[in-house]
Amino acid sequence: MIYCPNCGTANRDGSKFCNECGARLAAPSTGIACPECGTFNPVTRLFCQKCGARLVTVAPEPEPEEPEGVPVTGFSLPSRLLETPPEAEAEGPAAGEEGALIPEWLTGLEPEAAGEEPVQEVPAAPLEEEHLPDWLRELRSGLGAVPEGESVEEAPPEVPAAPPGEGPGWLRELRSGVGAVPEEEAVEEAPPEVPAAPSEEEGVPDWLRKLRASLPPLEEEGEEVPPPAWLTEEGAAYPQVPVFAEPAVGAEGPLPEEAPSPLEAEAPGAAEALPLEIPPWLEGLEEEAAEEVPPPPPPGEQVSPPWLVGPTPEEIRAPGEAAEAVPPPVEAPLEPGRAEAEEEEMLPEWLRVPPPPPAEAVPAARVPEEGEAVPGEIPPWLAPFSPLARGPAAEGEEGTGLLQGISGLVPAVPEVLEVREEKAKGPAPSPVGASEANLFRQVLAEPPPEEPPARPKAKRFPLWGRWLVSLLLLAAVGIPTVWNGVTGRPLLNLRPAVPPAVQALYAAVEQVQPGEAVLVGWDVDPASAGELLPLAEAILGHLMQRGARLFVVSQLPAGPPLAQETLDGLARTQGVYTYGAHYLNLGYLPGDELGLRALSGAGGLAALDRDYVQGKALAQWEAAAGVRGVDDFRLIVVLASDAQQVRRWIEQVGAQHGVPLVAGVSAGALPALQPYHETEPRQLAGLAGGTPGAAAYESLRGVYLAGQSSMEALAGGVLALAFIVIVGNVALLFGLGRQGE
Amino acid sequence: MVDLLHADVLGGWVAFVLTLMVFSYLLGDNPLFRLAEHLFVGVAVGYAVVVVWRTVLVPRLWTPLATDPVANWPFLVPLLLGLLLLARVRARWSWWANLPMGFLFGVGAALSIGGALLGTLYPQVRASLISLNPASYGGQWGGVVDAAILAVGTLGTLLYFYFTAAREGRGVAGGIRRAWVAVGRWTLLVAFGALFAGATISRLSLLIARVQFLWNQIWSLIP
Repeated sequence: MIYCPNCGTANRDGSKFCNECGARLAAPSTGIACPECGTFNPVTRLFCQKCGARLVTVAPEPEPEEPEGVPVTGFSLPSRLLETPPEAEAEGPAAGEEGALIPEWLTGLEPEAAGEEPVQEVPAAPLEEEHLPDWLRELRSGLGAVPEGESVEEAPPEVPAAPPGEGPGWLRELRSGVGAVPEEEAVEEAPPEVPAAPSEEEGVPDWLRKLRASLPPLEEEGEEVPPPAWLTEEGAAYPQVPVFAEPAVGAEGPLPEEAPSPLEAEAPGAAEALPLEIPPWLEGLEEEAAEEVPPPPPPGEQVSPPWLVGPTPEEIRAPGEAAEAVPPPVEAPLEPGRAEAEEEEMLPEWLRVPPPPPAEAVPAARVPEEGEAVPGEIPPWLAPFSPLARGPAAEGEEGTGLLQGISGLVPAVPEVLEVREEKAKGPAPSPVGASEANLFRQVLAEPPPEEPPARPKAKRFPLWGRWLVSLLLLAAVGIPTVWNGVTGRPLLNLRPAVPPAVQALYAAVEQVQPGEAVLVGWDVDPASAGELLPLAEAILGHLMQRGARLFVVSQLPAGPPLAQETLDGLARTQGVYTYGAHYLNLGYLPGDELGLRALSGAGGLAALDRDYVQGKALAQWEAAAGVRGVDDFRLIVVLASDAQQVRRWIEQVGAQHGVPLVAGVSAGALPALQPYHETEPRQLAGLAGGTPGAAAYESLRGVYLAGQSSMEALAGGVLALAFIVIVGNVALLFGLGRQGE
Repeated sequence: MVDLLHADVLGGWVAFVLTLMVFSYLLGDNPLFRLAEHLFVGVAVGYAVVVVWRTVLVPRLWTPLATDPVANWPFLVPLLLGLLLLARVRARWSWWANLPMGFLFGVGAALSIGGALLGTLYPQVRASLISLNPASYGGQWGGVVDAAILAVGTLGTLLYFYFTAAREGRGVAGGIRRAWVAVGRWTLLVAFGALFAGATISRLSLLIARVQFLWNQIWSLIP
């Protein structure tokens, strides 16, 4: 799983974007790019996790000419910063000859000046075992599997004793010990078994500890120089650069798997490198080597350095003799500033994504600048493994792709590739398909047609027109309102029509006897109060006039206070009609259908056990006497602005009980609820809608309230709207509104 | 202590100013309209929260659990479901809120379906099975015409939404079917027109109420 760094959501492996927030997910730092789709896959996968293509189409196959049994599946070219002294470059052929025996990075260790400061050690970044490539682990294990008992007579001359004052501390100590004690004697006095090393020297190879234990303490130095950090730290703190040490055949005890180079240069900066200094003790070595220069090898014969060739049979002593001190394995120096390199850089060169081909060939004789990374020299014995060799491809060697230059690989399975190609190509196109494809190509080849001129945008309704409509509507509504407010009588004395549904509603209320309980569903909030309050006042006033006990419940949070205000106002007009004795506010009933079903269920009013005003239990109120459930009510009145709210009452309460249900709704909800009044038996015993319904109900009651007083304003508004619609259609008919088209 | 009368007067004038701020939208979108709009939404939500806390959470959940939690332990179930809704605040926990939401939606859907079947679908289908016999209407042909219009309009509406059958046809049957589908389409248009007219009347009523309120406020200043 890949966890999003932004929101933490777990995403599938291989996801590029977070499924939750869409953030880009972190791509794996290392992987093998699929040759088919380009997806990066973990280095442990053989097949692409996206398309299933085979990532590594080959398998290791042992070559018969492999001298060692160590399987080498790849080789990572060591890279280092090389600062070649001008003097060394000027040597020309001599250096070339020596480079045939010794890697160039060792030949570059020419002594410059004996009095120069020694090169400081750079503790390289720790290298964990799991970060090592497989080929390196196998190679290391192969090196460690050298049979014991074999010994070498002499140490290779590549590790001579160094003069005091040069090189790291451990080397000076070693050098002083070697200089004080004859080699043969020192080796013979060495204990047969190496004692356990102290904890702080766990990283020191056994052969070095043994040698150090046999040496006298350092007396020549004024102060003891501590060993380098790479020598005292744990083994995991070794440098990351792979080490190819000479197989120390015959050395007693376990062979050192790897050891840091004593000639590592300390990087003062991320991209700055110090020159590799050659201690004076190597100068003597050079002189000795110059004296004992072997004859040049015959042409065609591969030459390896003596330390790599190993001891000859004559040099091998008889078993039981003390082994010579094994020289410290030489390690390729690290690139300064690359200690914090990414994990991807640990991959071998052939596993990385190939860089784009250079535009121009780099001249071979170019002198690397200071601080520039240059590839390390490959010993001749490793030349066959070099993936950079650009000779004619041998049999079984990959010629293209990521594995270019790698030999000894099993060829790719041709069947799989053929099948994939077949799928990719598909069947041969039919003649019709070919003609359509040609037509498609022609269409694509044609220049795009010129776009028609942009259609002029339709003019918006002008602002003055909006004001004109608003003023007209305001005048149509405001003039009757002001007239009614000033004079107290209607302007035109319109008599509203009384629909049968309103008559039925009035009749249902008329059937309520004094003292009977009536449940009022108050689904009116301030947003709809302007339309529904006149209707509510007309109906509830009528009920109060009939002496009914009113129980008000609301499914809107803002409903109870508005209901309380309305009921209190109506009660004041009715004389003796008090809260608690004649009406109760049961408050807010949440849950829509669930709340109504709870109210109409067996629990009844237990769902609303306390009143809204004082929070007292219903049993403490006089008005609630004898009322436990819906069946105890004589009538249910629903006041709502939405048809869905009335439908809930019909479905969840009215259909479950035989209590008649009437509704006073807004004018917009009236057409949707009219069918419930048309059924037989009537699901809505009575229905009134909006201001016209309120006016009709008031007319039936014989009172002149807000409903009738608003009818003239409503009529004026309707006439104004009709006028606007007619004028607008006429204008459209004569093209006034088509100016923009 | 503010006198209630004074509070009503103050509230009335605040409402007066806010009403004018809303009407200022006739001049175009402006900060006054936006302020009134945001005030309305914020006050409505805040008031709803207070009402729910005062009338639901405290008396119907907190008080029973605080007084006798052993006897009222079933109240812990809605409390737990309610707390799970708070998991919506974090994306990694939000799936916990699916439990109470699923419970609410499941029970609500079950009640809605059951209520719709018994309260709407069955009564309305039954009410549409009307007789065209004049005797059923006391010999008045008006009732017969009314019932015929209702039947034709209902069937035409059903035919209009019957997409699986070909609306085009040949011969007399095809012509009748096309005509009936047209009748159903016009029935729908009439129904939509009635709904639109009702909505217009409703909004006009709201406008009238606001104009009356403004006039009453102004009229109250006149001695």
